[in-house]
Amino acid sequence: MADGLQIDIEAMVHPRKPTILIGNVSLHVSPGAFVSFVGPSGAGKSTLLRIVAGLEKRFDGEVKWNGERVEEPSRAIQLVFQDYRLLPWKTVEDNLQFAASHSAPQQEITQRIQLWLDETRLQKLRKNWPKNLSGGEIARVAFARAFIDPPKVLLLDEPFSGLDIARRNDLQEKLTAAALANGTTVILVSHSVDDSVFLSDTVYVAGTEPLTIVRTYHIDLPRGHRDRFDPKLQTRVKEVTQDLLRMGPPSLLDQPKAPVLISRSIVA
Amino acid sequence: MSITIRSITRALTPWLVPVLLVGAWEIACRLHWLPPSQSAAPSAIASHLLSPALLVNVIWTLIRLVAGVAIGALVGIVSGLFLAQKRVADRLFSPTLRFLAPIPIIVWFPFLIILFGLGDAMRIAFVATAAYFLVHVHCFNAVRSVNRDFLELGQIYEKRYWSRVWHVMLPSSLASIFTSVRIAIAIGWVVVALAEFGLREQGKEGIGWFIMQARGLGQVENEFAGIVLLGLTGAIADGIVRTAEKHYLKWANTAEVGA
Repeated sequence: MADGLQIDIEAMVHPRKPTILIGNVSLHVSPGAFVSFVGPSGAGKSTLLRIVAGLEKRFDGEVKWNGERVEEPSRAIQLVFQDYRLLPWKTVEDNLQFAASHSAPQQEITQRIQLWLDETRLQKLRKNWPKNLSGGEIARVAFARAFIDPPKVLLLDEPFSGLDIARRNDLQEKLTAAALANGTTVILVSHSVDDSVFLSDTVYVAGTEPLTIVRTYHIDLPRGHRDRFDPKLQTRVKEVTQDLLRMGPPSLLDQPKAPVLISRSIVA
Repeated sequence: MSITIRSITRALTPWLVPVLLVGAWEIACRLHWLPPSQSAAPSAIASHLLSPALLVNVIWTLIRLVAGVAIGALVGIVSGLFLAQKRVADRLFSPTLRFLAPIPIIVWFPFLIILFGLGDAMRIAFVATAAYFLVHVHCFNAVRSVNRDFLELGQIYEKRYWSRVWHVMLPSSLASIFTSVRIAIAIGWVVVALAEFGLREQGKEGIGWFIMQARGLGQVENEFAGIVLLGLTGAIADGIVRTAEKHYLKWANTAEVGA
């Protein structure tokens, strides 16, 4: 399977502890597919994205895109960081310009910037500094920046956390549309099971210590035409959520002799 | 308080202390609390402030200062940037620079005379040397402290080396660089006056020589006029750099204490 993203990680040692952070992770992502990773905090999901982006080299294994090893970061595989990482000394417009390829004609770059400023409703904020933007506006700039020079693979590290439902929905629609239009392969890491199931073709449930894939769910509904409240999607959400809860700490209320720390009447 | 009164108050507040000091100084001189051979009243100094001889000397000093700080700062930024990124060069050169940096600037005098002679080139080099070490250290530390996250962004967007320097490292280090340039200007005044004290160049003496000459001839008003003009010019130069700093750092998310 030469086309698409092939991830074969045998092991990666934790950078700060004498433990294995990422265990055996082997999967193939087809070109244009949208996959998500959900799992406990600290499992190593963000590190997995960094490995795919070519930012981490201290692991055993390899990552290949279309048959070629990913050894260095490149514009073909872009990562939208959890903190978005807008350059504080550049305006919104200049942050988008920064993402453009130096080999592309400036006229084309200007048109793309204009297009994405309109798409993300950032026109009036084009000359603003990041310090003057709200969290939602910063997220929109980060998304626009990711598509100024559409990547082959887009890695998203919890990009919707901190956004309200309306803004999340808006960005997710734009993400889905842009990914479908450009044939972009997307890997999303998210704590939101809802978002992961709604957006993805495949959801991987990641276990921790070390990170491995414990379960895989396929979503056989066409992307871009999904209803968030579709019973099939909701069933998947429930299944994935139950998997995650089983991996988490045992609930106090399930323990027969647990001290009563909270009133059951509040919980009931 | 209305906006107008508040604005007037804010504009006048920085002048309160200087006016009080000058007033106290004037009174002290008129009441002969200060020996007339060692001090002059502000009212006597004022008439000498605009003397053509004094102004010409200030201009020559200013030229040497600006040239020296500009050269020293430029070389300091380049060397700070380079050594902060290239480990081999850092191991090669930094130990020597750390040895040279704390050496008092006056010790460089004879070496610079040998290298550059007795003219303006030596004086400018003197100022440049003082400025260089200061700016180099600040720039080096600032570049070493650049947030790795932003450098990774540059890697992902396949930015070439100079593009990463221009778009990431330099802007990230700018606050430190401006601070070091302001300190370099303040030290530069001391250094350039030192360089002018002992070595006269006919017609281009400079304020340092002017002050020493006035002291030697017992011309107290001229001496103090030179000192006052030195301070005023220094404050204006610092103000210009601060204005540039505010402009180039207006993106920074910092609290301006007392603003």
